[in-house]
Amino acid sequence: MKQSGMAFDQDTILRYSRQIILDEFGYTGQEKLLNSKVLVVGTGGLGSPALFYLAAAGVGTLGLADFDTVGISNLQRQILHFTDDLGRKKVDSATEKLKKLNPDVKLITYPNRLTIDNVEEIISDYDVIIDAVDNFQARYLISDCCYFLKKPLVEGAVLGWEGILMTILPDNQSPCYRCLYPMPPEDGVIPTCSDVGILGAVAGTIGSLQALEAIKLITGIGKTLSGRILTFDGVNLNFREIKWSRKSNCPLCGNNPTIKELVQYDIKCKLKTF
Amino acid sequence: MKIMLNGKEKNIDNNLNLLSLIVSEGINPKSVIVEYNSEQPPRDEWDSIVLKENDNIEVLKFIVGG
Repeated sequence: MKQSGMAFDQDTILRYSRQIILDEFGYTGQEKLLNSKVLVVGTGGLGSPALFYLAAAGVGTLGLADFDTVGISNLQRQILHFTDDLGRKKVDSATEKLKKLNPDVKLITYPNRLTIDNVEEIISDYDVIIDAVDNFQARYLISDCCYFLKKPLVEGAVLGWEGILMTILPDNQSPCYRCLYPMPPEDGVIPTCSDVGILGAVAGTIGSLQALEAIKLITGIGKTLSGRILTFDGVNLNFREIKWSRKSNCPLCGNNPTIKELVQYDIKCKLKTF
Repeated sequence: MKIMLNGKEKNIDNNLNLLSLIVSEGINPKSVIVEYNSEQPPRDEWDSIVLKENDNIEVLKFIVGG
């Protein structure tokens, strides 16, 4: 095992020993994690497991962005939030748990909605971005911003028993989010988790994979999902990999881009019934 | 004629177009994106694309929940 330039105290070595002894990981991998900054947008069904694993693994700085408060219908899947947290800001509830899990991690919270006016400033501070939001308006804002700022992005999304995962690299070769979803769908054609439901363990599967991809991006270990799409069907337990390439007609990264700056799509909130 | 639809081999009639295939699967075309042989043809062209043997079609839902 190769010692790195960073001085590790005994507690640090013990805390991370099970990953430090992994092939390829070592002290070098741990040092990279401890020096890294990851932003997780959304602390819900995807963000909860992603944040737990990233904090536990010793990512040095974690940014948490969420404007929402904890509601009772969140608790079957958003495992950072407990019954006692009902009504609290999600970022406060989340930081309390993550601090207890790993006091070494620096936690920065963004309790306001991400908008066209603040997204660049927030994202520019981080090495890797994890998109764990629950609406396409925010997904376009985050993924377009990551494209313009050349930040690696791990996109995960879930609905019902299904999930999807993409890792998007700023390498001028691999596909961007709009190479899959060029433009938002028409109003009313796509259901949301509050329409058709979501199982906690399905969100947990995709959120955990987002953390795994972020750790690989930071440490440089292995092969990321870039250039492929992973789809997950929990009801039949089926993972499928789809070859995925950059589209020459992509409105963002294609040959004749029509999107040259951030776009704020209207948020047409449906009334929450529960 | 054989095509690949979402990773599975499927037998279809000759002269079927991409839009008809999607509709025949019971899918609302507006609710999905389509990768046709690794390209994304514009929606208004789906009904003019006549499927050929060994075409590879991926129909993906808009999944944005978290």
